[in-house]
Amino acid sequence: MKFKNIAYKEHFNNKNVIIVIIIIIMGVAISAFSPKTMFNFWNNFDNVLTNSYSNAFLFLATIINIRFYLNNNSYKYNLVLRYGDYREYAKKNMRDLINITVYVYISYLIINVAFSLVFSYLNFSISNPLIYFLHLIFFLIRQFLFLIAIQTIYYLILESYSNSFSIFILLVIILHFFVSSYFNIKIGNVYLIFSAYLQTGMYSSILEEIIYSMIYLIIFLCLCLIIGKFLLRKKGEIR
Amino acid sequence: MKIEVKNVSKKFKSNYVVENANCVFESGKIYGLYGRNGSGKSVFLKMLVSFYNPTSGEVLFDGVNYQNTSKYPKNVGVLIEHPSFFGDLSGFKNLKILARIQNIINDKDIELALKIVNLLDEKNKKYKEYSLGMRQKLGIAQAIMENPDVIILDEPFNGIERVSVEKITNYLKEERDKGKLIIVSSHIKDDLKKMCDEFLYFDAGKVSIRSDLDEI
Repeated sequence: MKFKNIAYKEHFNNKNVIIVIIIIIMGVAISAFSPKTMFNFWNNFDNVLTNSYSNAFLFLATIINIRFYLNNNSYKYNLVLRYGDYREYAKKNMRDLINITVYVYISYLIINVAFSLVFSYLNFSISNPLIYFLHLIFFLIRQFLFLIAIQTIYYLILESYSNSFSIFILLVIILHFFVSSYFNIKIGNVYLIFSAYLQTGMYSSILEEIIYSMIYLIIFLCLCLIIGKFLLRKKGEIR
Repeated sequence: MKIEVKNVSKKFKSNYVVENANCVFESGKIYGLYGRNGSGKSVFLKMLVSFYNPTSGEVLFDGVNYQNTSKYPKNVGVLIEHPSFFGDLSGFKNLKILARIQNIINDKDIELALKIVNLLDEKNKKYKEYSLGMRQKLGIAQAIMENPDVIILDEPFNGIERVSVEKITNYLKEERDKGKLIIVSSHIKDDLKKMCDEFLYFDAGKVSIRSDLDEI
């Protein structure tokens, strides 16, 4: 049987989209309106990316998106019998949620760029562009992967134990603060590593970055697979 | 097609909603589930299609027990509880989205299902603008559009005008004659008496097989 995706866009109306955008704007604004020692576009941009509160809002937007996406049980009845297998239904949902997260993350970046631009006073100076952009790319990849992983795990838990919503919100926020500080430390480390690379001409630091990102990817994949295998072993009840 | 219900009970907390039910449903018949609201009909239907797992006993769908697996029985069309669709989309578009999952029917088949339930003229109207009866009709159209071997309808005639009830009833009888297995629940005797061959009476979770509803 050939399965085709249900258009996930149908799950969202204008009201849903506006709520998500407002949450992202609030998250970015927290960092953008905080007192600054210098007005520079890249500095502003980086501050938002690494600000724990901004990140917490980003995760909140993602989680709320999942709530908007998930079908109520009566609609689920229409779907699961057509898929014939709960795992197929869950996989389809996860694919859609990843697509949605791409849009959320791009919106987050666009809003960040807009706010950073407003408070930059057209100061775009940067000391080490190559190093900065490389670390930025890896940072964005890792942050996006983290977002996807949290979302997937959250979805799987929500499908299995729908009453654990509030507990998981707390879990995500607490977990996020740990990871966020880890990101910050890593950025500092990366600067040092790349400075050393520029002085010595060794490429090991780039490899190190790639390896870090690959490890992230593998850990997230394994985590999602283990949880997925465990939770989707049997379909459970649709109440 | 055969559904066997063997010693099936369902308990929520300490209350039995269905208690020790035993029955067999076979193709070529319309079964009527009759009982008051809250007598356990919907829970029973959900156990038939594996939305709920029985607390004890088993449901065999053509000999297969789907409990504790990730799978659901195939070729089943259901309307259980109130219908649910995307409010901002038309009735037709809603059905089209669902039809895309299995991809075995085309737009004409969807329109045919809408015609059977007397909703073809309103197919382009948004679901959120539908009345209660129209929503119910769309729910029935959703259940029958892919021509399933088993049709399960829970209180299908809620809010539907008599002309459409007659039309849907005649359609179900025709499908029965083609060899389909149809199960309809209702708390209105007359709706069931017009089309059903056998009856199951639900009374506070106790299920009994009846040949006639008049004795109840």
